[in-house]
Amino acid sequence: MDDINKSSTPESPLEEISNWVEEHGDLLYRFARYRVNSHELAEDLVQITFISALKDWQRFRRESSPKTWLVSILRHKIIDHYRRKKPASLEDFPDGGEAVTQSAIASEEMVQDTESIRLNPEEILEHQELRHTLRECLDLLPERFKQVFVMRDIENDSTENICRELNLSVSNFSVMMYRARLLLKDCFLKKGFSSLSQNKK
Amino acid sequence: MKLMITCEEASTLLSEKMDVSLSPAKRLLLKTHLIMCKKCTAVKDQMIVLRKVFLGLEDATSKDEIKMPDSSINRIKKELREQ
Repeated sequence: MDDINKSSTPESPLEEISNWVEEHGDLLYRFARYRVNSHELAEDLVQITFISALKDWQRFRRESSPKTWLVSILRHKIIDHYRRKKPASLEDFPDGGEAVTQSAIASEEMVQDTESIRLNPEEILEHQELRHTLRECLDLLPERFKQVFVMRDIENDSTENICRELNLSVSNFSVMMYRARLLLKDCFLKKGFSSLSQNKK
Repeated sequence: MKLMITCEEASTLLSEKMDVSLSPAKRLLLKTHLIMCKKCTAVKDQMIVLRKVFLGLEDATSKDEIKMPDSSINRIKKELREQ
């Protein structure tokens, strides 16, 4: 009976969206935090998302869940944020990324790292410290590179879609992914394994 | 057509291969380099593992690891009321 009463009581848009802030705020914040480099910006983007949801409330058809609808609004807000910024350039990296490239390719330690520590994705993801390290390394990426990397290697979006959505040539996209992957690999090997070996001591 | 590539060129191709289909010529150059270069084979293994790790990162992150501050939740609710 309670359920019937509950479902038949219409909520105002403000009440409903305020409830969504409680229910989905953390999830949206996590989504944004992976995609932009500052927590203040992530909070602002989440706020803009809820305000847009309130304004567009009539357009929410309830064919998808509120969570899916909110994430799709937020995703567009993040893309809008990046579109307003200047185009990505290798100059966004210190040394144009050269230092990272040399370190990531040429180090003999890298070979030893792979030989002495058998990397296993499941094991890496089980460690909260390593997940934290991965996020710290992600924050080292210049923002435009981070956006491209996240769309490709976290969201698993296709190269064609990303290039179309961000108006990038495939060759620019490939250079950005290459630099991002090298920086992340270098950062993770340095920070991640030192945190692992400290824990083992 | 050149027969050998440098380690830097090989690592560029390793990354490119994860996103697009390489031409037969590039595939051959990369394969030949990897047969001879232990260092780049290590880079390849690490790149593949890290790609899998990042693909699983969001799902593996527990809800308690990243939370929006209560002050922000309250600020958003206040903003909504003022709209």
